[in-house]
Amino acid sequence: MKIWRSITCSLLVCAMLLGLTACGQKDPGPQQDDSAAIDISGLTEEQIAEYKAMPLVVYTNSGAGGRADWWTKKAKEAGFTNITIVNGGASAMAEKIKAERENPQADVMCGLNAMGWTSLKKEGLLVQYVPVWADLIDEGMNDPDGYYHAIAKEATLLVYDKNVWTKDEAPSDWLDLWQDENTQYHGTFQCWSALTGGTTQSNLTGILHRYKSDADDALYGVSPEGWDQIKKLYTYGVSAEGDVISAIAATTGSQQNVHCGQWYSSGIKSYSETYEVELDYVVPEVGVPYNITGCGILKGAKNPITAALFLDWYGGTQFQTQWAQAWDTAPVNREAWEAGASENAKTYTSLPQQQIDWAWAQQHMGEWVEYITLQFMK
Amino acid sequence: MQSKEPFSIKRFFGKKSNIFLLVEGIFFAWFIFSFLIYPNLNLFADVLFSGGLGDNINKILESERAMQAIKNSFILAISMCVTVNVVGTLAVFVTEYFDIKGAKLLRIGYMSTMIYGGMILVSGFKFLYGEVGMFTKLLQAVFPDVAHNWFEGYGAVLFIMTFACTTNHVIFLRNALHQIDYQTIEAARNMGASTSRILFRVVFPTLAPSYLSITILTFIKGLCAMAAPLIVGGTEFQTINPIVITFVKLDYTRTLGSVLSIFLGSISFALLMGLNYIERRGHYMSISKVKTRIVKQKIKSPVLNVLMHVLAYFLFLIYVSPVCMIVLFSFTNTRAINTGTLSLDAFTLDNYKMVFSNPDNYGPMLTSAFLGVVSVTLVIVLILLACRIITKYKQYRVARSLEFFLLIPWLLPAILISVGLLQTYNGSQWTVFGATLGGTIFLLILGYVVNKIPYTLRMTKAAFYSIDDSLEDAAKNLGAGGFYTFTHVLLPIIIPTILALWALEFNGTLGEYDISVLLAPTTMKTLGVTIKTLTTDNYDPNSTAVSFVYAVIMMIIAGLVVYFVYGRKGASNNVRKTKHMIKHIEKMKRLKAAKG
Repeated sequence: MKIWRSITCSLLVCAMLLGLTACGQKDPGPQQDDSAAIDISGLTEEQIAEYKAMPLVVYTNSGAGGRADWWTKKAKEAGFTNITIVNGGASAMAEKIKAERENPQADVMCGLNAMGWTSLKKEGLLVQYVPVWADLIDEGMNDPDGYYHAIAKEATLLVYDKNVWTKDEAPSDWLDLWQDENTQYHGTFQCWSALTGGTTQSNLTGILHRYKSDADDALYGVSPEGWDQIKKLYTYGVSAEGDVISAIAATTGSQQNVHCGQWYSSGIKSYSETYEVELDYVVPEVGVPYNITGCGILKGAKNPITAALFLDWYGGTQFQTQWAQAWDTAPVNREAWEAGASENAKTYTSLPQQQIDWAWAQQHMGEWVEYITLQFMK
Repeated sequence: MQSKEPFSIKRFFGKKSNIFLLVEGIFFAWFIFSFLIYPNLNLFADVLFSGGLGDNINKILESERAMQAIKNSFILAISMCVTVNVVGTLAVFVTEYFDIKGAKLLRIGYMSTMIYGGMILVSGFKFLYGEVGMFTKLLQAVFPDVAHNWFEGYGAVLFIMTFACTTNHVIFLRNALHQIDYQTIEAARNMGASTSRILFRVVFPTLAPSYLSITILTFIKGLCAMAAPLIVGGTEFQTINPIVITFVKLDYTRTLGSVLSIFLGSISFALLMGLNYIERRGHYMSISKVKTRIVKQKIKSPVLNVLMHVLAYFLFLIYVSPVCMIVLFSFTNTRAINTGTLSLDAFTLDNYKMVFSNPDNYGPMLTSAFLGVVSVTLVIVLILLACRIITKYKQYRVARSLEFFLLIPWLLPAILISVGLLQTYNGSQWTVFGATLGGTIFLLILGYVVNKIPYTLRMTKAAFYSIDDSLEDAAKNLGAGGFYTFTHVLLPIIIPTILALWALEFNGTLGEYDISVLLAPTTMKTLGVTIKTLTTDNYDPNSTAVSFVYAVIMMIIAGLVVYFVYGRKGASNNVRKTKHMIKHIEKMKRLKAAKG
């Protein structure tokens, strides 16, 4: 009996001590002054190889569908032998970075979109570093202060079933779909049932941006006319069931009249093949919203020099060309785009770009999601 | 019985066993403060004192949709209390109480909800009754007027939730039923009572405490329903929890999400406290010490007998068909899954090939299984210790407040608890003596443990209350120490419940995402995170099909676990353990006599 008691007693004490000892090795903290921009210009070849082999942790949300494994392999081939890639959803990774502020675990973030980057920059979680390929990117995509740089772009498009509408019959803009007089389009598109997806947020921003307003009657940065559009969208849209392309393909059920919807450019080919539908897309006069992924070094990176070397490689022409060829993406690096992007990707990414103030969108997105979820959604 | 003498420090430390109690007390005080209260303090403070509380409540009150959703949640929770009890009782009684042919097979069917849940379970039902479902197509072939969305709204949500939530009955009501003293039933019969009279006057009253606990848990499940209303609720029947989760995941709306979630949590909390009060007031178990094993009752009326058989197999079909659908569709391509059309050329092994061709895809299964074993075992040990204090010292307020504090995680969704833990323990923290838990496996296990505490506590406590106090007293009189009594007398009685809980919690950990993605160390990949990264982001149209492969794999692992808990010795376990215990007490009696 006593043995039992003392065993449990000591187990409890052990459990308490666990916290004390098991994880007691505290990191000495970042060795370099990370408020200054990183400079790697003076490194010799040997030093570079040495730095590359140091441990590097990369967070990303662009690793789905086997991509993460593929680029881990490529990174190792390029000399980053100690790389660890942590893959997760965009919001989860951003959340993780923010929560780990006091004890950063990662050196580099790859992925997100303009809104995500704006938010990280605003919270002071990034370190300035301008990679060698920064000049190969179109103006307006990189952070002017050098905190993050663009990697790939993706258009959010209004796609429709070619066999239902001709080019003339199809709407010419999102707004056409829900105007009271355009009864032919009512019930032919889905309204959002969740507002957390990247494509949905970029589309929502594209629509609301036209009604950006600072006037007194504006609500959350959007004029009343803008909110009227959202109201109509929910009045005339069909509640979503399944993804948009499967809805367009459906010939029975609640989605049988859905003929158009939002889709991201790189998914058009594979999805239309899977569902055997023929799709065309609409280019509104204001242009199409582009989602731009990027990369940046996180504040508190343990090996900022390795991180900088990694960035130089990751966004560089060679790797981005391979990436585009393997996964059909559209790099923003001009050289890689020319060399690696498929004809398909080129078509979708040379469309006129809608000019969007992403900082404004980032600032208001939470309010929009709350307002629409509580007031309009059905 | 415990004496109700006033607390005295001198007497308290006078007893040896109380030093053990003191250590336990200090441990729990530290654990509760460090991991349940401290990480969430900021959040609670934000919600209560940021000044936005009034605004947030107003926003909810002004939103027609939110108010309707809250109303729907309550409607669902209340209706489920009725339907889940009816179906659950039927499921337990046809396999355990009445003599129905093929009861073993039926039981396996009824236990299917132990191995899957959430989105996967709802998808299974949708393959059958959804607008492109097989049953719908069949129905439309017979009655062309049936609308494609006939399976939508309140009825559909209630149907799915009813069949999804009978797990507690199948485990805990069954255990309770097996503890009924058969002699009471015999006696009633000898006095000429009819089957229904025996049921309503003898059996059900004995099971009342189990029904009470299960009903309240069902209510809470209904209130927090997520997958079913999202998928089959349609526009008319959306509930509040999906809105809560959306808000909690966004920075800006987090406070509003927390307000809503604390509101829902407080209702659960209040209900559970009420349940505690009832449990404390009356100790009304009529469980015999020398048990006669329950004998299955023959239904005398042939008509009723046939009806009961038909009903039993009908239920079986409802339970089993969604599982079959998921297995079937895991072998098809995404197009077949989304359109519900099965043709020969839709069948493919590609999904399985994709998962099994890459070691990175199945390594996480081992990781998650390991994490599950460790965290579930830890939480159960923790809760056993807590329950021991709570039930033994129930007249002291300190013991009661222990339970109160352990229920805190029920107030917040898993994701908020994880964010709180991560923010608090990322740096060196004084509550863990200056250690840094962030980025280590300990924080992840802690996250799992903390989230499992309330449910484990609730179910374990119910099992503790079913133990007759006099058993413990008998052991004590025979000279057994507190710990010996616990391990040799009490534990064997509740072991079936503990094992079932272990299996259930383990199965729930396998595919966990929200906690894992935030708290896992950088080098560790859990199954939930792997599935999510393989299947979300829509990059690959085939991702839906792959997620069904994972669903099948998880069902197989979960099924194996359930088999090891239930499959081998089955119902006899319970009785065997009791006999073993009685033998033990007798042996001690002899020893004592010999010594004397």
